[in-house]
Amino acid sequence: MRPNYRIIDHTADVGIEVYGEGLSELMEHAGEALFSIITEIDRVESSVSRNITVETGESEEVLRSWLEQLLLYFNTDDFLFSRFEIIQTDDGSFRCTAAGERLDSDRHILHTEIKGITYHQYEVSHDDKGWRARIILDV
Amino acid sequence: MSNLKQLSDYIWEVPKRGGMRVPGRIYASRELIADIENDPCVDQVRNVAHLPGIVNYSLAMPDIHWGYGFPIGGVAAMDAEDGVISPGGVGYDINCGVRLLATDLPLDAVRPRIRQLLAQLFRDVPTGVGSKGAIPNLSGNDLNRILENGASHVVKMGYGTKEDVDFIEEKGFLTGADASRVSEHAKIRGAKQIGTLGSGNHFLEVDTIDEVYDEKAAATLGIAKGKIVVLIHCGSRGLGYQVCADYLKTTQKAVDKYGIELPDRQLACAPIRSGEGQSYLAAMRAAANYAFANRQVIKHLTEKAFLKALGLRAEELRMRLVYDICHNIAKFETHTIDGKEAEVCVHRKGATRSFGPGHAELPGRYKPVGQPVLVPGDMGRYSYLTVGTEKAMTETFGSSCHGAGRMMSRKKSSKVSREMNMIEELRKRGVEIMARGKRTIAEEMPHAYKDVASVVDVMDGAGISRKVARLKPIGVIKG
Repeated sequence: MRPNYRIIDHTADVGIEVYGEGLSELMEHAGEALFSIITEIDRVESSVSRNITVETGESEEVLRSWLEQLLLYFNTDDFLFSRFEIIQTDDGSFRCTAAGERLDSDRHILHTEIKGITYHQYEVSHDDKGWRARIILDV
Repeated sequence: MSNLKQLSDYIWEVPKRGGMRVPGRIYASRELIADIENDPCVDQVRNVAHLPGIVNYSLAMPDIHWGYGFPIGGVAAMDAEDGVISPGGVGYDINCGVRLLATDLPLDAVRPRIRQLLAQLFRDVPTGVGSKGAIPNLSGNDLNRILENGASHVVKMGYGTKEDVDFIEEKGFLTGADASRVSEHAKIRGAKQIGTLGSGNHFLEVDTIDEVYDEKAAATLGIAKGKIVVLIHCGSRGLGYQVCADYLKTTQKAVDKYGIELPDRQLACAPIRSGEGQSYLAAMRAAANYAFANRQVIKHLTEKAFLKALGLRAEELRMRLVYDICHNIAKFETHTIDGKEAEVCVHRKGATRSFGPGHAELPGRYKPVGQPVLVPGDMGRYSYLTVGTEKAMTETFGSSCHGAGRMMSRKKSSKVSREMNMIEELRKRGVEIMARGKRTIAEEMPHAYKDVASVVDVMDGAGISRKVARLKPIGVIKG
């Protein structure tokens, strides 16, 4: 079975390759990959939910907007997420729910500080096997 | 294939072709160029040469490696009137830099108590991802004043002395900073992180001066063999990353609006004279000022930790700021181009200003020797104190290298590190380490980096920055 994502090698930065059946699932798995790089995601309880809306657009921009909004919650509100659910609505926009909890330094280990989501080799594609994205993070 | 042309022992030309407006120039030895020439970072030197308004050459220092848009180790000067400003030419960590502190302590006064000292530093200097800032409940007003006035504002708040400010590049603040150009998100991040070291390759290192190459220059800078010094490497933290991310979006749009043709969208830029360009400059300067203040607060925390852990009085320690430099920045400077003085916007991304003796920007006492250029190496070997030269002014827009340069990915370094007891390995080299996470140590082990001596020797050999002293680490704290 194909994994949800894998970490790829890159000299100065960290890359992820993410897979999903549709764009919604790709976004869910990308959220999971992002927070796995930040922390031990298994230790993050999904007790509180946040609703995030992502406007319709090119898939590259949709995925980027989603990840940037997640990062912003972490960076400004100390929020860690571990569960993601995304539904595409009739107007094409995405109704996203991210569940997690506030950072608790006694329980959570933070691994990596992500400076930004770069445009380097950034790619979102799909074929009959499903969707795939490559994202290089500046760390 | 690279097709580099050797111009001298240490300079390799990347010939002009296609849309390149100027040729590229890479400073390297024959050994270093062998690794560099087939790396994608040479394409990045070429790409930068496409930017509108670039003057003379797209330059790279010997610690060049792949970066976001611009290579790390890249220097590019743009015409102040017709040129562009590019957030990728500064980097996410705006005004990431290095600060060197000198003390009167001999090595043997510290070595036996290094573990206690590190433990105290680790308690007092907030370190690692998610650590809380050293100034609790920093007010919005104080944050804005930090953004606009830099280090001098935290000195007013009680962190360090007025004299410190004279020994910071640009006296610890860039003029033309505008806090209103910094987004609320960036400010939220900045308010809670002032006085923090961060993680990744950032560190605070206790070193001893183990070699002096130029006694006279060392004495002028207040450095002596066998004495303890402290090297601090960090930048503008989340505030700077957010400013970069915010303005990458702005400049992506500006590229279309102004019809700028780019070989790589990561070189997103805006004309310096445009509204977008001016906004980024004002925000970038504010982030740079935050970084100066950040390192200033850390200096104060470091001094307190030394006094407490070693039971000393301030006059026994005599901790003083030797110099503080930026190595991710864009600044307007006057340089001689085609025999005429001209104002240019110098982007230094993973490169250090290296002004020669007598320059008006130097503190009076340092004028005979030139500007200190601080070059940290990996945590197991050594770092260097060098000084800028007149030749740097004519060849590299007064710029030199910034560090060792990574040669192994974080993932690969972690894999190699898995086979060893890292703390023991460093202890064998005479270095104690305290870090928040094991992963950081694994990613930052000496094997992940080039030998910084090979980088510094190129700059010394090419006459761009002269070696003054070598620093050997005895203790490190990391995120």
